[in-house]
Parts: sequence; structure tokens; C-alpha cells
Amino acid sequence: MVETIIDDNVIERVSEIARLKLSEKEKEKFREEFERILEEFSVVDEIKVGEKELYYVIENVNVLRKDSEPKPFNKINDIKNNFNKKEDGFIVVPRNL
Amino acid sequence: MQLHEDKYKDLNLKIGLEIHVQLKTEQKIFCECSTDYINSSPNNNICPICTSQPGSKPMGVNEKALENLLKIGLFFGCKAYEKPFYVQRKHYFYPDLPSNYQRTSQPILGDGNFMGVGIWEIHIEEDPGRYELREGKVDLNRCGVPLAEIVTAPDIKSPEYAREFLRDLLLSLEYLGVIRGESGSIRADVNISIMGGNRIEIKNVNSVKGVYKALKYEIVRQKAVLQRGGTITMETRHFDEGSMITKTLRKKETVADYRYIPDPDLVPIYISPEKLQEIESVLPESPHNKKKRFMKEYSLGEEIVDALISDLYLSDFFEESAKKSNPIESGKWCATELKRRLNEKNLSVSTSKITPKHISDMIGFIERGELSVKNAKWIIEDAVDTGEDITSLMDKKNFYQISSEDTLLDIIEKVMGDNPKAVEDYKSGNENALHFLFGKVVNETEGRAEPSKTIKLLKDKLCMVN
Ligand SMILES: [Zn+2]
Repeated sequence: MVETIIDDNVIERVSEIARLKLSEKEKEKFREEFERILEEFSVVDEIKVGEKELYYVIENVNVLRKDSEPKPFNKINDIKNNFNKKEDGFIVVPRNL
Repeated sequence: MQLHEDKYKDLNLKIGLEIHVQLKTEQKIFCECSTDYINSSPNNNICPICTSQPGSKPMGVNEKALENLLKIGLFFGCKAYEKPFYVQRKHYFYPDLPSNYQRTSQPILGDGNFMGVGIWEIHIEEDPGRYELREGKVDLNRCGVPLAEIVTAPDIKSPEYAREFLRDLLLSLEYLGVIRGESGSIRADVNISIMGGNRIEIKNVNSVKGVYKALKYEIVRQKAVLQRGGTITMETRHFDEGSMITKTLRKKETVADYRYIPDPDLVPIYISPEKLQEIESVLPESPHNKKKRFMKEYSLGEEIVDALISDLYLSDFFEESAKKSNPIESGKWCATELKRRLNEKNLSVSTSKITPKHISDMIGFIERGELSVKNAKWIIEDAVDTGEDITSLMDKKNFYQISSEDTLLDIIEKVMGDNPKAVEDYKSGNENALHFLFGKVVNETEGRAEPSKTIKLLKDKLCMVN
């Protein structure tokens, strides 16, 4: 069990950088969820790692690709259908974020 | 040479830049979409990778983008780091970034120099899309266009030099053929501190002119704060291109908020010495070597050479004109009057109408005593603007200098006859009278009298008066 660090300040800061305005009820909901997530992940702390941080387990390097003629994606409309709100081809989002 | 620094000497300005330029490639950095985001209708240049659809993975880094970045670094005398670098995820939430993180690499090269300004490091990253914040509209076509970020040391000492540095840096990159040419292809974050005070960062300035204006504004603003007895606190400000002023950014992510992690979808990249050699072998002569060569080969002074080499188009232009004229003269004209006119008109020799032949022809006219140095400046302005050849400009402007002794003597005699008092004054030892009479001859000839000959003839003639 990890010690909880999800206090009001953390919730406030996370919602700030996520650019979300949360109601008191939502804040409480997120606090519970965050705590559960952290607890789930606390199992990772049990893994013994060496002194050196290991970022990549595979030794493969330099996977590069040659630049060539662009290949347009042929199902752009499938992507566009995921846009919540459209106008003249643009995605419409809140102003002045 | 930072020519304008005197004006700001007491302020001890320290200006550093983080410059973003788009690297020239056909395809985006992690997918096969076209990088031409401008000539495509909104959101029509996208795929699951650059819009981060769930489950999509990046392809390997576009090799051409990396090569272009290496060219930039090596050209500025940077060294590549010997260790492999990896691409990181920089997390932040903004409508132009569908994945909620920007892929940005660790420094790839560093420790270079351009125009006396240290280059701290250069790395590669992906461009986000475009978010029109006033309209609340997003176009993702630009997502994934490869960017180089060039971070300079705070070695710039005036807004004027920042402008000059950026202008010449962009010209060099254009000359190298490594960046996209579209307008808006430069974005910079600007750091400035005054009198050892706290560092202010100005975000997202979108043009060379904007950088200059933002710095000018910040200097005035910070001076006013200090004069009122206030202090400058470290902060990030935003530059408003419309009103040309900077404003406090209320909210700002800190480094910890970005939650950098190595991107697990990409493997580290190692730049081998062989690769560096291959790139180096196709690079044009570096500014450093060019400087040494120009000083030796053409016997030019350091200041002139610095002005010539900061713009590679100009240095080629100079060498071409120096083939058919005295290199010292040609160097001087190219580095001073020509460069001044080009800057004034926001042009480069590559975009203006002037040719090397204009300069060498013009020098010929000066050497033959047919054109005055003063009028030559006008000739350069016209050649830059119109591209008309020198002979027809000479005719049109009536610039042919009068150096025939007979013609000059006729005019001198007339002037002396018209101004007996001045002649008397000179005889009684008043040197100013000579200048007065010389001025009259110049007026009489609409400035075309060859000066040294005129003075000599005038003196001779005055001595003959009894
Ligand atoms: Zn794509």
C-alpha cells in the first residue's frame, strides 16, 4: 500500500495542466481513481533494478527510414469522422486556451 | 562584430535564442504523409500516425531530416555527441497536439559558433499542428513536420544584433538547402536579462522582425520597472504579434509537468564517425575556413570579411565580382553599402536584381574617375531595386564626373569671377574661403566635379591671382 499523495493541490495542478475545469464532485472521483491507479502501479516498485537506469531492453539502434515520395493515407475520412466538431475542414475546439 | 552594442553598454544585455526551423523533407518525421502543410486543405495531410490514433506507432525517424540537422550542426562547427541519443516524449495538453506529447530528441550536436554567438545544442523534434486560438480552429496538417531546435548561448548583446544574427542564420540554412522556405518557417523563444537581473523568456515569436520588436519592448519595460525601484522576477511572457508587446503568461508548465520519458516506440540513434564524415564532405566551406581564406587571398580586413561571410550568398557574390575588379574595393562595397541596402529592403543578393557585374562595373567607373564615391551609393541602391546595368544608370542619373581640367578650369574661373570677396578673403589667409569656393564649384556642376582635381586646380588658380 503506497502512502497517498493525492491531495487537493495535486488534483488542482493536474486539472490545470490538463486544461480541465473540475467540479468538487469530479475532484473527489478523480482522487479515488488516482489513488487506485497508483496502488495498482506500486507493484512496479518491487522490481529490483541495478544502479544504472535502463530505458531500452532491446539493443537495436538506428532504425531510420529513407525519405521518399509522400504516400497519402487513403482513409482520411475515417480519421475525420472522429472529430467531434468540424467547420470548413478544421476541427473546432474552445477558443483562447 | 556586434556593432550596435555600445548603445546598450550600461544595460549589460544578455540575449539567447531557441530557434525552431522546419527541416526540408518530402515526408514527415515519423510517417509517410507529405510535409507540404500549406498547399493542402485543412486536415487533408494526415494519417493515423501523425494524428496519434489509438494503437498507431511511429515509423523510424526520417533519415533525411536527421541528415539535414547534422548539416546544420557541422556547418556551425558543432560536435556530435558520442553517445546514442533517444527521442523523448514531452507531455503537455494543447489542441494542436493530438497525442498529448511532443516527440523531441536529446541534444544531438553542440558546442558550435556562428557570428560570434555560441551554439549550445541542436536537437530534432516534431512540429505540432496549427491552432488558431482566436477562432478555436485546429488543422493537423503540420503535425509531424520535422523541426530542428537550435539553442544559442546568451551571447547576443543588442536587439539589432539578434535581428542580424537571425537573418544571416536563416540565409545560411537556406543556402545549405536544409530548411523549408515558406514564410513562418522560423519560430523562436527569446531569453533576455538586463544588468545581471533575472532571465525573462518570451515564447513563440514568429518572425525575425518579431524577435527584434519583442526585445526592444522588453528592454523598455524592464528599464521602467527598475527605475521605479521594482525588481524583475523570472517569468515567461508571450509576444503578441499584433500589438508588438509582451504579456505575462499566467500558467506555465514546469519541467516536471512535462514528464519527459524516453519514447518506448523508438530505439536510440547513434551517429557514427563515418556518417559525420560523409555529411561533412558534402558541406560548403565553413564560415571559419572561409574567413581565413578571404583574409589571406583577398587581403581584406576582419570587419569586412565578417560582414561578407555571415551571408553565404553575399560571399559568393563578392567572389564573383572580385574576379573582374579590385577585391579590396569590391569587398568594401559588398560588405557596407550593398549589405545595408539589402537589409533595408529586406532582400538578399539571391532575391534582389543586383549582379556581381554591377559591382565590378561600378568600381571601374570609380577608378576611371567617372563616378564619385558619393554617387556610387545611389547607383547601388538603384541596381538593387531595378537591376538596370551601370552604364544606363550613369546616363540616366547624369552621374558622369567632370574630370577634364579644361572644363573644370572654365567653371572655376566663372565661380571666382562671381565671388570676388571670397577670393580676397582667401588671399588674406582665410582657409574657409577655399571651402566656400569649392562648394560653389560643386553646386555649379551638380556634384559632378571630381573633388581632388577641383581642389588642386582651385588652389593653383587662386595662387595666380595677385
Ligand atoms: Zn501522417
